[in-house]
Amino acid sequence: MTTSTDAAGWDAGALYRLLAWTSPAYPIGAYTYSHGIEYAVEEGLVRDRATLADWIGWILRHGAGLLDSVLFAESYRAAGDGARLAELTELGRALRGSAETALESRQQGMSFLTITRTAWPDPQLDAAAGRLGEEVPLAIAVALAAAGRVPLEPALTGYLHAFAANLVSAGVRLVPLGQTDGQRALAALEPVVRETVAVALATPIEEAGSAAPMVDWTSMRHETQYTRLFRS
Amino acid sequence: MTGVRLQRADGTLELGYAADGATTRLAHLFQSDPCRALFPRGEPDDAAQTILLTTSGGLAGGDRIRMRAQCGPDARQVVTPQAAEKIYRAIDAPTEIDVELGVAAGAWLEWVPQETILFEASRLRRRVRIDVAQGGRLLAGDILSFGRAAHGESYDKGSLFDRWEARRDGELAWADRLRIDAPRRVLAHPAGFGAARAFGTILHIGPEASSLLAVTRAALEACKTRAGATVVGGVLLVRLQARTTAELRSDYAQIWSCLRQAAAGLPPRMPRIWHS
Repeated sequence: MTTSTDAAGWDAGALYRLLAWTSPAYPIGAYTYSHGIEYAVEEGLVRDRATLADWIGWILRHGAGLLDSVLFAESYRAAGDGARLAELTELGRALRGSAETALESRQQGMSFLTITRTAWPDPQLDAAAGRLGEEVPLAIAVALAAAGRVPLEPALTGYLHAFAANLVSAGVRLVPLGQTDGQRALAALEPVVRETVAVALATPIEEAGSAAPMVDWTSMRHETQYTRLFRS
Repeated sequence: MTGVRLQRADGTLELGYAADGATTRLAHLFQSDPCRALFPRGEPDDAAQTILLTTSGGLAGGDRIRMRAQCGPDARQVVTPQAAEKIYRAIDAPTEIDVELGVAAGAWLEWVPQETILFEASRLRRRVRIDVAQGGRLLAGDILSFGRAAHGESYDKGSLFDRWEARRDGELAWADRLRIDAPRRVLAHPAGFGAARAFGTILHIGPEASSLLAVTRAALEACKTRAGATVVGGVLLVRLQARTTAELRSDYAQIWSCLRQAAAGLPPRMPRIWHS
């Protein structure tokens, strides 16, 4: 392993890998998922920039955003521990509130691993991937830890930014909103992402929970929504 | 409920059922206060029933109860509480409830809830662990009432940490962690409970669980409450939210009755005690 580091003390290339792997352009299919927002828009629960930012903020703080962040942090720390990763994978797969949010996590995680192992081949990621399920927070956490050599806090911030930005983008298309309003929503979510990262880093997985039954409800109802652009 | 309780409840109930020809008998019973079980004479066309009681009339902070129900191969049983469970104000330690449900191959276990009422400033930590063997069938559920809205009671303060883990044939199929630390905000927020004051869950695990989604959705069409169904990890999951417990119970009974008929061929009704 090379030991060169940049001015911030990061492994050379780590920032590049973080930006690449958590970019909305990384082709894992994120843009096809709305996490139930498509139904929330149909029901009028999300109808403008303020309600969109508020809804996504709740998902980040009290929904999959928080649970996945805790899973992310735990898997990052366990990147070299196959038995612990297997446990976290089982839990990560089970902690899904609906068929479509399960699909959203699994399909993106699978795509992420396939693409990353092909384009950035790395023996440490290959070794971890064998024991790693496909859930997206685990896949990205282990890749950023083992092959990316990105420190945990920026890694998790990058992951949550990607999650938030994708939901904002879904909202922009669905409400619909202008691109500038989308970025204003994303800017409003910056402190929420920072807070969620801090909470996730301090919460053991045994104590983590969510409180977003309305988000689960929109996701369940989305399964039978008549006109749909999104897969979740 | 006022004052500090010096004696804290610490009760256990263990129930084991075994098939005996075409009927089911109680094969194991252990009970300690405040947990009690009653075994009423069953109805001829239905599975046998066990009624659960908490003799203390509710649980306060520091109280702990553990309940365990195991259905052996081919046994059939309906287990349901006599009344709503009240969780009172906690001064320091939380109330703890631990539930374990086990279902062997060919068995049917029905864990029918009545509402758990969370009073102002209550603190509940509950853990429900479910284990269903291949070929076993379980219908289990839960109803949470956030304060008694009909009595003008609030649930603004307090906390709930409710952990569910369901294993099918040894593998973790579904897990859920409901964590409420600031009830007022969580209940009011549009993405939280959207002003609902009662929350119901129905879980079905069994070989045909996935194929019952369509019949469940059809039954949901008639619901007045906010309800949804899905199949996740092979588990059929139904969630209902309502402004009052009475509204929720009415729809809950409809869906439950429909599922026990579809999954086990049992009469589409709730245990009689549910209506008293």
